[in-house]
Amino acid sequence: MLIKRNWRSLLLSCAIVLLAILFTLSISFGSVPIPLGEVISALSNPEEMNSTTGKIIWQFRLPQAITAVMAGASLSISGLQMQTLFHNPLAGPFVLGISAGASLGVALLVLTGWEVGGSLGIVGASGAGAFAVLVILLLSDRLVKSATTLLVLGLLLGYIANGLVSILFQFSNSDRLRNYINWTLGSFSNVTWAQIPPFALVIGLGLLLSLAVTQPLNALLLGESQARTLGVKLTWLRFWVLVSTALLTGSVTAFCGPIAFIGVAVPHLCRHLWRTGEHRQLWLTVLITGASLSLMADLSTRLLGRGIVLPLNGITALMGTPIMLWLILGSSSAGHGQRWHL
Amino acid sequence: MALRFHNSVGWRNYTVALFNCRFLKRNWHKLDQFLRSNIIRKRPSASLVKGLLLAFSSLLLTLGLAGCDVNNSGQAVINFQNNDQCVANFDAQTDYFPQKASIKYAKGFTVSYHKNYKLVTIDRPFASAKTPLRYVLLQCGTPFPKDVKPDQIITVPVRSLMVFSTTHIPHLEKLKVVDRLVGIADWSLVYSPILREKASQRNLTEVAKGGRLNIEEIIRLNPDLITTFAVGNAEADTYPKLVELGLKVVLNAEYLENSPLGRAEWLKFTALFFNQEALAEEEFNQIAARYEKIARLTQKVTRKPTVLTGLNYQGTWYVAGGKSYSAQFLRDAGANYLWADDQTTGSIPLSFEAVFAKGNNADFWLPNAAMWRSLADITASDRRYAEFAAFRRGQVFNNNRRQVDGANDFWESGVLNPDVVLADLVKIFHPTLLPDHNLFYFQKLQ
Repeated sequence: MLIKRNWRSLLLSCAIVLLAILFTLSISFGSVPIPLGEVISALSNPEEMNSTTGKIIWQFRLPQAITAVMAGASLSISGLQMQTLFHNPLAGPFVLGISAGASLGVALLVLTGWEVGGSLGIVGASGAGAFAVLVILLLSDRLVKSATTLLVLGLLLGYIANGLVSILFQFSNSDRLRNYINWTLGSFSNVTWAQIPPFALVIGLGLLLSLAVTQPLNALLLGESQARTLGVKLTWLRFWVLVSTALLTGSVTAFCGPIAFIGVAVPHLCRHLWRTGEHRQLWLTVLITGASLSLMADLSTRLLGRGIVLPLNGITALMGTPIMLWLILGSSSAGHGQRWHL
Repeated sequence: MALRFHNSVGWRNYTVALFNCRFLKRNWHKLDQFLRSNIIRKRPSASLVKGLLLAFSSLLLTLGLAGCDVNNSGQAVINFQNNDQCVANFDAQTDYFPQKASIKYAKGFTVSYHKNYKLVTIDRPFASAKTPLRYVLLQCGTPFPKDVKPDQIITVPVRSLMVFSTTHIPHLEKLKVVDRLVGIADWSLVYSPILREKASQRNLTEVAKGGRLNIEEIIRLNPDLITTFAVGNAEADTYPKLVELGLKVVLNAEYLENSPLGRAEWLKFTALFFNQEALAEEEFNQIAARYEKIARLTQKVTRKPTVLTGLNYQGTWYVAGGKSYSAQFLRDAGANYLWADDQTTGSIPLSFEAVFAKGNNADFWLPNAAMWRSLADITASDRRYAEFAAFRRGQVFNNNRRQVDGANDFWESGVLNPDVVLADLVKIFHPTLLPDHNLFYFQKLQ
């Protein structure tokens, strides 16, 4: 047991080192080539902040890397919670219709051409949409008995929101459509320093909540009735998981757009690598792996060089699907349901 | 001749029908049926008046047909004041197009004149097009040439048309044929005050709102011509559907031209369909002369300010390519465009930081952003824009002075008036060269 623990800790240390490396790479590599020495001097000397290089690193790359870390961690943690809550390996942060609600909010703002408040307007609209879905879910959570009903409800809310968005398309013009489509492609580059503190605050709250529910989620792995006999109040658990997920995914969607696949793929990857389903152990590993994968995806968007940036959601899909496929094919040979045990 | 009948009857529903002899011949039994059913309406006790009406309309139909026959056989002579009417007396030796267009700047189309038809070739109808398109513009009332296999045959002069691009509207205004417009694609994109007024009189139909064709309305109006454009994307392009319906559709590829005057010269393309080559030539020559004159002003300037274009869209900043028409504008306006050495004709997608690294010290910034009306709008969108020197010095000029909602006149009449756009740019970069000019399309953001 001790050896197993050590092996897991070693793997975790490796993941942390990898995260640090990826973070450094993310700051050093961009469309403008800046030598590593200059990157370090720009970061260490406050006087360098006003040079072009300093501004690129401080105003563009650093906020973007921090955003990628926060978004990847949040989405992965909420994916982990959703998969356990719904007993569904395909569940992700967006199954509750929260991103669809956020999309509707943004569509109302961008497609109708109100254009109020610039980027903060988009954040506000997206947050409001996500919050509206959360309120509906929480209200209905009191009425429905099972998690499956909640899952279906989330899906239906998503359909309604998407339906309304497609109706809004009809009353829009091509410029606005382009703005909206750009938002749906996702990006970490739009978050500036002014937005990072509120972003971090909301995410911090969501992560704390998720940390608090790890123990009851472990009990839930044994099945709903088993968890109940172990003293878990399922309605209470569902309530707080919903709030936590809404805070995490709602804020990420608001600031970065709907980022696909990271939230679904990372929990699977961690369960597979650390060979555990125990939530307290998984929490940190998922957090770190999620941040790393999201940094990796963000780095890949700049792979082509020459200042060309690929759409983030294209990259996350290309990275996420092979991981999922590998895990699903791998687990089917290794035995059914293995990943779901403690 | 048919025209005269039409006027005396004043029957709106037959406007198009009576204009067109061929249509009448093909469909006379339908019209007859229509008249009968509408006038008698299953009531045997129809009044004497209705009976007379029926008799009269049948007579009209017969006469109309006869009129066409007479026209085609060349026995009736109608006064042709100009080349705006059908030929009654076809003569194989006559040159029916004494006024000919000559193309100087536009690279996208060519026209060759034959006795009674013009052969127009669009080499590249859209960027990814593999084959050229060929249109025969046949003088009304003359026989079709047997040895040509075009993609479309359009009888000219065109009497009713729809335009699917707002850039074609100024052409119609310039050629004084705007009355022939019966439909436009989407009102929300149209700026033209002339058209807006026409719309208030309710005789202009919107036929492709939001890019979705209103097929029934298009067929009901049955225009002689539809001008549109294609981007080579089956999802977005509407013209294949229109062609399939048997409508007379031509593609206009002016947006692929890489010079401002090249784009404006497509006025001559539109003119071909109205036999208005002389007017187009005259108007375009004036535009070109004014443009060249302004461009000459900047040739002697020694200090050329650096210029940055575009804005960041969710992480991607599209700057105009070095071989694009925008770059040509900046060159002619005596500016030093930062991406002038680039070889792209379209736009280049770059990251915000790449643009910042190159453009943060640029003297001027032309964002071409529809939604920005003040400097505060820019910082609300992203605070990092305030780091640009042009922003700090208040040298941000946007092309939305003439914009109402989604309709920006810069992309409408600005295409046909490159001289005015150039004057604006020179006024921005070198105000002393054009002291009397007031910015027309651009505004300085405060």
